[in-house]
Amino acid sequence: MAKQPLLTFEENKHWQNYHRTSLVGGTVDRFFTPRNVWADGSRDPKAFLPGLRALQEIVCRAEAGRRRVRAVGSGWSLSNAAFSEEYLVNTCRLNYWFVGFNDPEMVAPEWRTKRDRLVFAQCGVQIKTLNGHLQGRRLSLMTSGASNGQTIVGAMSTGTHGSARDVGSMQDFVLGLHIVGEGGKHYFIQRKSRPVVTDAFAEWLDCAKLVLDDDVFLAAVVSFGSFGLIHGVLFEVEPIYLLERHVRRYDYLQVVHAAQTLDLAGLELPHPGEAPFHFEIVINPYRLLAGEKGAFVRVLYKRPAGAELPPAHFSETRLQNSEDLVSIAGFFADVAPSVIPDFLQSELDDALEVTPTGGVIGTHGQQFGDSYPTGGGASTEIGVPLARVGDALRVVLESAQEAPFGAPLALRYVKSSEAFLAFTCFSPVTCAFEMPGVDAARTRDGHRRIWQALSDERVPHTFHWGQALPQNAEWPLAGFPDERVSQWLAARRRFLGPSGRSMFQNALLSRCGLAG
Amino acid sequence: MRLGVKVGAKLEAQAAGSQRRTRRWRGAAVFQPVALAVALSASGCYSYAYQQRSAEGPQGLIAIDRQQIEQHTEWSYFWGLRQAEWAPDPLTCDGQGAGRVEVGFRWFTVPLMLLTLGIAVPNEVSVFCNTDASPGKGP
Repeated sequence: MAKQPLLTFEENKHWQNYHRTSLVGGTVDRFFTPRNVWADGSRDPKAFLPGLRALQEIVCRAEAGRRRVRAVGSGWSLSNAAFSEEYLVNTCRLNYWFVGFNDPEMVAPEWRTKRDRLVFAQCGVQIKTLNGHLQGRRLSLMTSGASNGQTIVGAMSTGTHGSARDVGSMQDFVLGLHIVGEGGKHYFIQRKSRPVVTDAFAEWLDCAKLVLDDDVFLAAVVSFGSFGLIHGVLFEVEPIYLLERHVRRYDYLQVVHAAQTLDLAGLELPHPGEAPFHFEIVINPYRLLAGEKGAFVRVLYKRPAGAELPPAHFSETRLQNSEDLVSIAGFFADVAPSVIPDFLQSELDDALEVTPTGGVIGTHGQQFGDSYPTGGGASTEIGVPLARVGDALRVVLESAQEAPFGAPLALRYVKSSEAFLAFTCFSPVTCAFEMPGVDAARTRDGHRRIWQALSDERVPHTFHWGQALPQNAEWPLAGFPDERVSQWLAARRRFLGPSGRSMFQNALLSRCGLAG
Repeated sequence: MRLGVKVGAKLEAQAAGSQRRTRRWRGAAVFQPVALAVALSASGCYSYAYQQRSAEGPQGLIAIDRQQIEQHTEWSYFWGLRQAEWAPDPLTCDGQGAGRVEVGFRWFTVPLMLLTLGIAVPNEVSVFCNTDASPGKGP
């Protein structure tokens, strides 16, 4: 008799996201936690197998009960993209992964020389786990978000990005997806134009069906759970490198030209003429005058790693703001908005400490390290074509000044992604406008004002799926160029039948007109 | 007559002062329990956390499962003369152990401590499982 996976669930669980955003999450009928353990407590020589079987069982139960099902990783999204009030799957315990293929027959000929740099990771593996263990093998992720607590699948599925102009977002280094779909059947999806693994690997993955389809891959890779439960991903890593970080303070007017053009000459950065790996501008929207030093520029230059890597730096203790304190800050932001500009400036001074002349050198994992839950955070992030950054900047800053709310404006520049629903879809570079702040009524009003103003001014824009966004059938999709939305819908229809499309949808998907 | 007026005024003033004091006392009587309740319930926010570091690479905070948390209450008795010592069931975290432990007051910790004069003090223990993993054997 086949072994049963260990699968536990809680009923009527109140689920909240990592940042405890007030309008995210809610009560879940069944909150499943699958594990890489069989019901009798034993493990399997193929360590991932019990976890895969558990995901298949959850899908079969959902299908039989006509329930909607979705998976959640670390819960870092500030929207309900990952949330379902019916069945929700906690993927955190599915943490098997491997680096490099021993059997060259499992890898397509053109990838065999690089097969030591291919990583397969189950959905629950966190970025910090990858950073830590890859560094020990002198390998590194190509890019990541600003921090490291997301799971690899959660980060990829919502289009998490840094500001790597030559790499793009996290989904852009992903090469294959292992998905559990309708009926508990599972598929390994990769591009037909860029196959990486052979049937032999699909067979090793407990006889997954190999799907070679560019459109299905590009649709599923940023689909926040809408194509099924993603069991694992295959991606490429690169030899370890170092990043030299510099932070400088400027007046807002000194950075405007660079923000609109990526011509960095006027900033007098430490390595003139060298394009940085990462370029980011953070602005206090309420400190824009000359002499106020309301703009911060953070650049990271890529450097080769020597035999010795920089030592880890950390402090042993810290005091963390409780949820109550952040709520109190949100309350004061609502009732005493005049304190916001100074409060924001002091927060930015702390968070973006000016670096010494030579900069600070570190590995990717050291530069994009730990962060902590805000205990009540809200944010919106908007993608804008580079050519329209000037218009967007004016609109966003005017809207923010109309009624101040507690959030800085961060601009990051990301190479355009081919994934159909990646919000970084504007070619060649998308500028991501992010306003991470305190979860307060004033902040939510501020977001709405900015969205409306961008729409009124006809600035093309898209929304990060993992952050606050307007939820209606037109707006979030209107900014995507060409046929991306229809291609996404067509690929989903091809991959899933009606019952699968119904099972793997949620309220956000329905509201945004993506459920069909 | 003037004396009478003065005395009357004094009496009125005394009466008014007395009423003000009574109102103050009534206000204080309402305020004090509210302040006490707020102080006692807010004291439930006190907490301390330990999180393991990864032994690998940047040695950052270890990966943990923040979704499925094991929570229970441990007790200390007789002013700490008897203390809870506790070791989690290894199966709780699939054999990987705890990656983070938080210990904090429950909402009733301080009231109970006051009521029992410190004889019984409950604390809430929250265990977050370690989910860090070295790369496994690949094909």
